[in-house]
Amino acid sequence: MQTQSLSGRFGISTISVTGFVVLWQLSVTLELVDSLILPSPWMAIQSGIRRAEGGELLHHIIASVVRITEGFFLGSVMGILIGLLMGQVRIIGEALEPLVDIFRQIPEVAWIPLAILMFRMGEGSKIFIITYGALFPAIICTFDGVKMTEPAIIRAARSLGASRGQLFWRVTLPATLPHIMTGLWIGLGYAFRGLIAAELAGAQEGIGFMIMLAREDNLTADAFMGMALIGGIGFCAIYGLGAVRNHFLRWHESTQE
Amino acid sequence: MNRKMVTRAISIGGLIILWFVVTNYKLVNPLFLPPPKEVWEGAVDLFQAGELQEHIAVSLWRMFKGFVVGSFTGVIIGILMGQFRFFHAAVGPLVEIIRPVPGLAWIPVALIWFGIDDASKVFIISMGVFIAVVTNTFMGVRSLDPVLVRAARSLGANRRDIFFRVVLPGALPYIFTGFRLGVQVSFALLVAAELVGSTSGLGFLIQDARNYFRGDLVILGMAVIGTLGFSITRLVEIAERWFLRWHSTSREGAFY
Repeated sequence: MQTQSLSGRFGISTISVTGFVVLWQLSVTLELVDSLILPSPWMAIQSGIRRAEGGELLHHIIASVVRITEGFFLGSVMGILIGLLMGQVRIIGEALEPLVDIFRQIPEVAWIPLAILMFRMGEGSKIFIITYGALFPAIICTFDGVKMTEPAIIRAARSLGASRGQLFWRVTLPATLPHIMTGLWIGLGYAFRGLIAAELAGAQEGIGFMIMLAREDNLTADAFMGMALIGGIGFCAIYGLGAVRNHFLRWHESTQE
Repeated sequence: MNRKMVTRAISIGGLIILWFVVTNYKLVNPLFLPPPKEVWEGAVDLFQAGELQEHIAVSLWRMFKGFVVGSFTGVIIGILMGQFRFFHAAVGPLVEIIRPVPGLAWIPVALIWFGIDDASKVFIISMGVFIAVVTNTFMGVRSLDPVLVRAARSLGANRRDIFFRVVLPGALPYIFTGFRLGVQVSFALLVAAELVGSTSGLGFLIQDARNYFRGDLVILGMAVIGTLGFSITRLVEIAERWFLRWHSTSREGAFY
């Protein structure tokens, strides 16, 4: 019975999605809406094929993927290191916490004009924005994770004769890892947001740049195609990070379900 | 506690002193890090001209409109999805399709559809808020303990009572999480949308200041954006605590 109701609901979902796409396509084909305002799905696909043929599309995708990889990696590594340092050395934690509290209030997109003043229109400004987005969630979650490590476990390890180094590598770091992963998770979202915003605001390549250019030329179909691409890349990035998380946390209860 | 206040004061004071020293000896290009005095003077000028207040008012009004539209539709569709399996099966996949697309990616299309006036910003913000609210509302309705509904029903509650007395209060903590996330998202979206295509608002202020190489006004704008973002998030948290004062789990410390 269960499978039947499930397939029934699956049927409704399929009908709903195909119905939506067909309705959308028909309303454009029958010219009920202006295709300049709302292009049909087929037009978006065609524009994707057209741009892919010259290799232009791949060029933009690579530019964006390289940026997000560099910036996210840089921000995450820096954030984890700072967070661990803040958690391990009390005075550093106390000194940096108020500053972190202040700077995390400013969304990464608000740094775009200043980043452009600092680094001009070059790659530096984009990497800065993406790094900034990934940095603070990584710092805060790592710091929280170290602080929240069960004191009983630390005392137990210490009473069993663990050295400072062993305590860090065998107890604190593994206990913090789930929190670090949460930080990376949130940071990826911010980094991605930063990437798109920085490319919209001023770039010479990348998907954000491509859809902004499409807007200036009123090529709505290209903008829709770009949006779908951005969604797809975001989906892949989330999926990839999920795989990394499951690998590193395969011992942790959160991955057991 | 006391010690914490002292270190806090020292570290923030240290940052400000560092700012004075660095700019005084011109260790950093004054183009993007002007001295504090210049930022202060820029702020006073802009305030006396009435421009600063105007940009703030424009931005807040846009955000408010976008938030109302996005959260209203989000709550209604989220509840419908949670209550009716058929509705969930039909609408859920459509929500899932637009969910991975960040609100920012709607900016170019919004500019084509609505031009550079308020409507495009309201659309972008409501898009971001909608996604945050609809997913959390749905989760709230679904995670409700079915025993509570059965208990209410066996005590003779009708459908309307069950909805307003059990389902809605049960989902409220989740709905507020959606509101809180939505507010944070909407602030970043607003700034980005104003940066890219606008003639007013705080995002426009910092972008325009950059065009004229006014680093002082860029920093001023960023400070205002940070302060406003912080205050609005706090307001939502206060509202949350008031509306959920009957609720056992305090949601303290959850900032994302």
